[in-house]
Amino acid sequence: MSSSHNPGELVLRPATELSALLTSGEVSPVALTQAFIDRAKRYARLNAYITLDEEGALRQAAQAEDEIKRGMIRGPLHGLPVAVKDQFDAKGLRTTAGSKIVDYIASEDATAVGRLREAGAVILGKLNLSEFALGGNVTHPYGIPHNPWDETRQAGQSSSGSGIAVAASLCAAALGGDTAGSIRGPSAWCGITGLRPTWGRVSRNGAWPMAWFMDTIGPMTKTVADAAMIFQAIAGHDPKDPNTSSRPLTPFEPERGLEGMRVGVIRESIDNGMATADVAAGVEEAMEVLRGLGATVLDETLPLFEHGGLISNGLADSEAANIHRKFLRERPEDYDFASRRRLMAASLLPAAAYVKLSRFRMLMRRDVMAALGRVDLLVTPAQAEGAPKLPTSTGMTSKEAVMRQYFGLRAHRGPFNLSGVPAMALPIGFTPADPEGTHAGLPMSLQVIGRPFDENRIFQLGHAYQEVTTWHERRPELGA
Amino acid sequence: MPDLTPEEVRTQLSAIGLTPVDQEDLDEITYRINAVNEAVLALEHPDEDAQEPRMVFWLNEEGSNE
Repeated sequence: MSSSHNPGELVLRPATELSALLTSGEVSPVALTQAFIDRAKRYARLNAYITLDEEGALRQAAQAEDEIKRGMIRGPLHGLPVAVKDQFDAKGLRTTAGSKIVDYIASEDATAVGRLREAGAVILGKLNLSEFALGGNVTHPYGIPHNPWDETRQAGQSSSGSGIAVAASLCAAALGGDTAGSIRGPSAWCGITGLRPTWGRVSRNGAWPMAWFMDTIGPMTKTVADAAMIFQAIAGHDPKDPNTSSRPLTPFEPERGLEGMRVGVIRESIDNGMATADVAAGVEEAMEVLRGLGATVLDETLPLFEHGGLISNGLADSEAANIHRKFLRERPEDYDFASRRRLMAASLLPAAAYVKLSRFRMLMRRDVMAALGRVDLLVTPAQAEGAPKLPTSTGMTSKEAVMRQYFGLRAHRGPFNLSGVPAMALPIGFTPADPEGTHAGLPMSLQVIGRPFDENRIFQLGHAYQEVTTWHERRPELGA
Repeated sequence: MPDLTPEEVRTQLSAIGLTPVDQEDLDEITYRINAVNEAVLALEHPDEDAQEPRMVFWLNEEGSNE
């Protein structure tokens, strides 16, 4: 690393900036990897990592350094220290899926992880997550993930470690997984950018499944440009996942402004108390920025919006209950109590209800596609509120509480994972500071939704927004 | 539709080889399945019967402009 670069400052920079410094030879991959390892150890209390592979990462970094010195540059990820959710296999590293039940050394990389390696990225380790990527668990076998903006609060589920690690600069970028909001939710609460790609765009090979027809893998990063860079590396057809599309991938090339772009605000997502006043105001302010960039902002409607959580969770949990049926029978006590109760309840969902929810999934998709025919992109809040306090119980002490807490929480993201379309969480500001002094403001986030395989238009909006705003440049104060 | 009782839920779970760990488990499982059943039953849409459930979208759309 050049003496002009302070490692403590470098790790705070976006991945695209680090990429330029690494591939130009200005910064050493070994020194940068060491800086991220040191920081990950220093802030181990956040519980972002399950496995930090110091030795392996430094070995990969040394190889990258050697290749770069010899001019054998593989691409923009060469030498970049990244980390992956422990839902995905990484050859030679432990996979736990965030559970007490699964624990093995992977013999192969998940395809997305392998593509990062082929692109020259350094795999720092495996990141903490909700048990089996389900979301909703209260206890965590590998430590409670703490939100770096306020350590008394949730980081979001299920890619919690990925959200923390990027926000706290414990890696340059991360991979997360999103079935029903697990990239977008933690990205929103941790104040970072997170893309759920079009279903079928990124291979699911080597990933622990939750619901096969909604599971996706995507980038969680400091900026939109970072997300586009990681997405480009991991996307594309994979014979090991026959449900990946063969459509060609077009590199993202930023343009200035948003002239001619039509953006639709789904009113049901912010009106009538569907988001807090702070979040609703944040969305309106973000729309003003988009108008200033030349976009036309229109009101849009999605009549089934409020049912997004019910349809999404009803279907996803049924799929998950089937996946977990043997473990549930043989090792129920090894699940977190919230996961166990949820999966056992889902095991009893009548087949007729599953079919009905599947029909409503089609209706939701029909409405989402119709809206995306009228505008280029849709927007909603990515989370309806700032990160809540860490839970100590499920709070589901009545049927009404289940309906209120469980279905309502995911309404904002459900319609879009049900529809298989791409959606990205984009930081748009902060809530007011906590009067008790536990935080100086919690991140707020916009969800930007595009047509299938149109990730680049989402990137275009997000990148243009980040060119004229600074929310994505803020970093949490972590103290000692 | 009447709610399932905890004992009915226990019986249904037993039939598929599942056993709640304790009474709190059984109570919450009961709240959850009753909530889903009630919410699904309440879902109504005039076009519901016209929709064929399809799992993978893009396979049918490849090559189209959708």
